[in-house]
Amino acid sequence: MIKPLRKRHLQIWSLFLVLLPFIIVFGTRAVPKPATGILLQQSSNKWLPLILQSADKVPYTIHLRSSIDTSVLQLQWISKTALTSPSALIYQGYPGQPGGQLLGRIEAMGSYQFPVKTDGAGPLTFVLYDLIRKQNIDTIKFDK
Amino acid sequence: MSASYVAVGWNRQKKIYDSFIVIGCVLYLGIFISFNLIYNPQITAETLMIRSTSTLAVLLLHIILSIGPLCRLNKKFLPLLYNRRHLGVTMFFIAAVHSIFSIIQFHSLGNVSPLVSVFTSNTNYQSWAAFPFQAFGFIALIIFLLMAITSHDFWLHNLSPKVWKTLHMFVYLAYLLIVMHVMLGVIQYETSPVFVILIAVGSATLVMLHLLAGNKEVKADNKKYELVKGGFVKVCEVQDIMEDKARMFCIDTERIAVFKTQGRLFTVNNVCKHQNGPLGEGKILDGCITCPWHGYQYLPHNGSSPPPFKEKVSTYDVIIDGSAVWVNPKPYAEGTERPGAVIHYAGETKQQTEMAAV
Repeated sequence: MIKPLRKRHLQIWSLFLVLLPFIIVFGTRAVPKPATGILLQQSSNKWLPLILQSADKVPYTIHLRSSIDTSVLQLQWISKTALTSPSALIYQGYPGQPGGQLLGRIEAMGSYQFPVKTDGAGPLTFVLYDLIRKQNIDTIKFDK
Repeated sequence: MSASYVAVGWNRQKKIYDSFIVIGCVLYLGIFISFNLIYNPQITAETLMIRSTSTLAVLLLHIILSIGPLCRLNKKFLPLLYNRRHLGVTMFFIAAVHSIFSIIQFHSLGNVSPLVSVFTSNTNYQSWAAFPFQAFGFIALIIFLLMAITSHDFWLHNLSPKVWKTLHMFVYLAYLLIVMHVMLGVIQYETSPVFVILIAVGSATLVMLHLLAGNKEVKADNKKYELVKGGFVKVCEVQDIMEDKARMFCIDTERIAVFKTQGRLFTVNNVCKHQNGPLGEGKILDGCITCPWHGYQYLPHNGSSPPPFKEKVSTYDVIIDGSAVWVNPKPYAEGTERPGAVIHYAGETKQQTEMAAV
């Protein structure tokens, strides 16, 4: 290696000494708040017994479920086919807006369930969100 | 070193090395896929492929970037440097598999071309959390592609070592883009702290190794040589140089290597014509100075590669006064023959010394 190249290597890595920790720290701080449930979950028998409301679409069916005394709500998401958006997340409320809460992730076919907060006013809104394209794929609203 | 171009310069050593690369990659993929299937059985095959190849490519990139400084800190790592290009091309192919699967999975079902979609589907450049991180990975892949296709000596000779080296220095930009690709994208999606820890440990290790090696080199380059006699500079004692090896001295603008072989000292420019490798860190093999990086050879007395090769490096005058070695840093034209300096060992007459040298 020639002398100017040795010097350039040292300059580049001296710069990286500052840049890399900066990227790592800011990248970590930008991670969204953790989901209320397990991000990627699929289970067959953990849903609550009552179905309060449903929405049926071509690729998926959504049930708003509750306990017997209706004090606890749950969203059951049943993917009938693999979603065309492989990076789909489900939010209660709108992503990035006040009150918007990441519930979890939808990936392969199957049934997913997520706990639902009931403390807000108005209808319960759920948004299927494409993380890669940063777009809302679908919005489902249930009356309380 | 070869008189003609061959597609892949395989020899026995490179074949053994490449076998280790293949076995290592297959083992890694096997273990990664098995663990994922055990702990996350609902994962799709495409996602599994994207994740396994991405982590393997990042791991290989860290290994590749650590080989250079490791060799400058310890010569035992030089065999890795000799074979680094094959590891780099392997890393590119694995990164390409990751990219192709990712583009198909995330962008093939839109209403625009998947490649256009990589850059236009997300334009949140003002947000850290929503930054379009895939573009970073794509640009890094283009850099790896350019490096992989120009990794052959054909391109080194036709582009010139300076242009070639400049192009391959872009690997550092690619590394920075990969770190941003992971930190602004992947970890926003995967909540496991493992990714952050691995990238942080990998980056810290690379920075530490490169700064250690760089400081060591700068220290050697900045050493002052004050004793000057008729243009000659005292650099060391004869016994400081091991037989068939060299010591390097940066007296003026570039390092000079002083080799000791067969009762004489010879001085040549330290920079190999192939890839600017440090000739002084090599040794004399079959009577030739042999570059430790890729085995290019030069004759000690004239700095020329033995026929049919045509590479040449500058030569210098060297004298021995008592046991002190003096070097004139003014270079002769590349390939100029110099007599070297005959070493007088204690107890020898001048005639015995010259007989031994002959």
